[in-house]
Amino acid sequence: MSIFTKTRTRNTRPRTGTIVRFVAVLMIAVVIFFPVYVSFLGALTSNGALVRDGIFPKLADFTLGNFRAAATSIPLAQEYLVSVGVVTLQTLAQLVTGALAAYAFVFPQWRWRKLAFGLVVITLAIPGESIVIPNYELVSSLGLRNTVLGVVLPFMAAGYPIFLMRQAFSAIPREVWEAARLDGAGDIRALFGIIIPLCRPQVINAILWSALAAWNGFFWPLLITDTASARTIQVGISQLASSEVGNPAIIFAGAVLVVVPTMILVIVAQRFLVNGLSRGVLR
Amino acid sequence: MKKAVLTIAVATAMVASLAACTSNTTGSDAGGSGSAPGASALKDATGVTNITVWHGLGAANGVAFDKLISQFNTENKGRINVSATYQGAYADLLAKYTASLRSNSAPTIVLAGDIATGYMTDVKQSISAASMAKANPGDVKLNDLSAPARNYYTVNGVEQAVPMNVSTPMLWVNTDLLTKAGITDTSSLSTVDGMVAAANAVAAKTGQKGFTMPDDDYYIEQLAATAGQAFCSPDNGRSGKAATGITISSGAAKTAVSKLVSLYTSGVAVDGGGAGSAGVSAFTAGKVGVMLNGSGLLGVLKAGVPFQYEALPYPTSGSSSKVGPVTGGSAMWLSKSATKAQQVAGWKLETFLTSPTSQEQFSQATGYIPINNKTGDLASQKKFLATSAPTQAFLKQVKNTPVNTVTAGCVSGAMTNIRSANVNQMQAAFAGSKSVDSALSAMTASAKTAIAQYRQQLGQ
Repeated sequence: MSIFTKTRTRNTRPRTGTIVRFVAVLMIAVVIFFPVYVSFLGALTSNGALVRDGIFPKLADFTLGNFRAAATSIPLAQEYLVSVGVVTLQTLAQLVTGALAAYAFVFPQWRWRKLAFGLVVITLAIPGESIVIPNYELVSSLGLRNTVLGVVLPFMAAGYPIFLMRQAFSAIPREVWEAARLDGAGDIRALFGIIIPLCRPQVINAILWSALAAWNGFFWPLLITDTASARTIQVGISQLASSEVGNPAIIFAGAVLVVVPTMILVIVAQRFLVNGLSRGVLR
Repeated sequence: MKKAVLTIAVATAMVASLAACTSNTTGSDAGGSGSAPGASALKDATGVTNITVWHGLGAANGVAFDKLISQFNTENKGRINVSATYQGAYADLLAKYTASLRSNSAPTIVLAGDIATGYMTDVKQSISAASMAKANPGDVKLNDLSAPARNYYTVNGVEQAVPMNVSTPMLWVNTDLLTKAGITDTSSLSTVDGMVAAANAVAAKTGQKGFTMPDDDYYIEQLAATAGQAFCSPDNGRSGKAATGITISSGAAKTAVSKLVSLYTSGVAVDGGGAGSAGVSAFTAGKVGVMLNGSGLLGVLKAGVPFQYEALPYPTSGSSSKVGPVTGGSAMWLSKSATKAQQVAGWKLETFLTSPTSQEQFSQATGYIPINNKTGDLASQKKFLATSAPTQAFLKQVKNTPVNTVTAGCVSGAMTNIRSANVNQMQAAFAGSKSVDSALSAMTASAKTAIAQYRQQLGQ
């Protein structure tokens, strides 16, 4: 076989494989992105334009009227602020409680720590519906109904961030922790000064999960709040749908207003998301 | 759908936990009476009497309702202050109301959806409208209100709640497509057979879809009512015995449903989706000939569509003197646990909301039918009706609906669960993955189970 033949074989095989992979990924991306595209189009065009003109509507059908209608039907700005408050409080609380719990499960040696961690993992299997009533009674008895704190309180700790961070902390050589302790660092300083910086991608992953879960919460905020002053945007946009006949375009507009912050968050933090997930896999 | 399942699951759990406090009286002597206070309870109150109203009116309906509340507050400044809050769709509202009963924080008035009537009666936490009207003769005149709507909220001869917003299911038609299909006389669509024929003609001659409707059991129940068949047995739970099951798998109702399903399996109909948004989008785009939907669709169509449309009566398949659709909407339930001053204040609010002028304003903004029959006497309403043929059609249908147990609709606290379960079967039948017989049998079986479980939770 001549060197020319060998060169051709080495160059074509990887290119064909790359093209096939690219096409497959592109098709999956289209399938995933298509509903998002339709939602944005539905929000930006008049009712029926999508069905009439297909997925490339005419320029004349574009309008911002749906967003205006959505913004005037509900106290959008106020509910956005409440959502930001809920996300901030809940995420911060879950980060702190998760980090503290994960640290306790990994570094200090104590009896029953594996059992305790097992109990935390079991909570992941408990359906949310089964704890709504006890949470409602607890928050009501504390006089926190219709407050942002009441929305956040039952979710200030969660099993998944604890699990994520525990797995991340387990990957750090114990010697690193012992060296920090030998240098005089207490538990808190070791955790926030040494351990967490070493697990930044996984910690950011946990933050993302907590933030998205807090942003997307609907039934609990609806149940525990009575007025717009404490309501999140998810509850607000549900009001855009009439119980009997809804205006699809306005509902699309509301959905877009809610999904845009989460899209921005994921796009900005996707590097950490992938990094955090892959580190877990490689370990 | 996931949110609906969660809501129903939580509500079911809460109902079970309320069992010790309630009993199933639907079908026996329905209660909710309490002792109704008279006007002196409010006159003797000092300061401002604050009351709360929970409702499920979203979109433009919520805006119109809030406007009325604001007007009431202005007129009663210093005496009564109303705080009205949207609490989610009707199912979410009911779950939240149930939770509030457990924590003794129920609102003064809850604007509960139509199918909550059985549950609201069973939990016995409301004062009946009949007793409040008797104790306050100067306020709400129940006889001025729409008889079919009052019929819906009357259980065992006692009117339990005052209807606030009433809708009626209609057959909406794209007259441009019908004309292209050779149908110029829309009176032929007054029957189910006529509607099916028109849908087939549109599909065959125009290339567009012939029919759509929301995947909502409400429209299947209507097919039973307009066939002269009670959706639930016995007698829709309205004649002294609680409902024990549904009748959809037999009789004229089954025949009507089968004809509807044939439109889907033959490709003439397009699936409207669970919330109906897909069907509404397709209809407003001019791609569908006829559509079953509520009177509230008028608000969407008025915003502008590229074709001529008309609202026709819901198609029947029974003798017109005995049949008619069941009204939809919601009614105001006055809490027994509120103070007497709050109860009378709430009754004053109900009087305001059901007055001819309030109903005129509300109906014109939302597409709901005015609940007060005297609204039609207002000069401004007459002027409005002259320009709105669909509204005239709504009013005519409700006026012509005979008042009997069939058109009263089914009363059972399990209706929310029944509707939710029936949707899956409907969709399977539409998709052709299940035969009509099989789907209707499954609906009947699951409804029987749901009703039995509900009655068991309430201790019966």
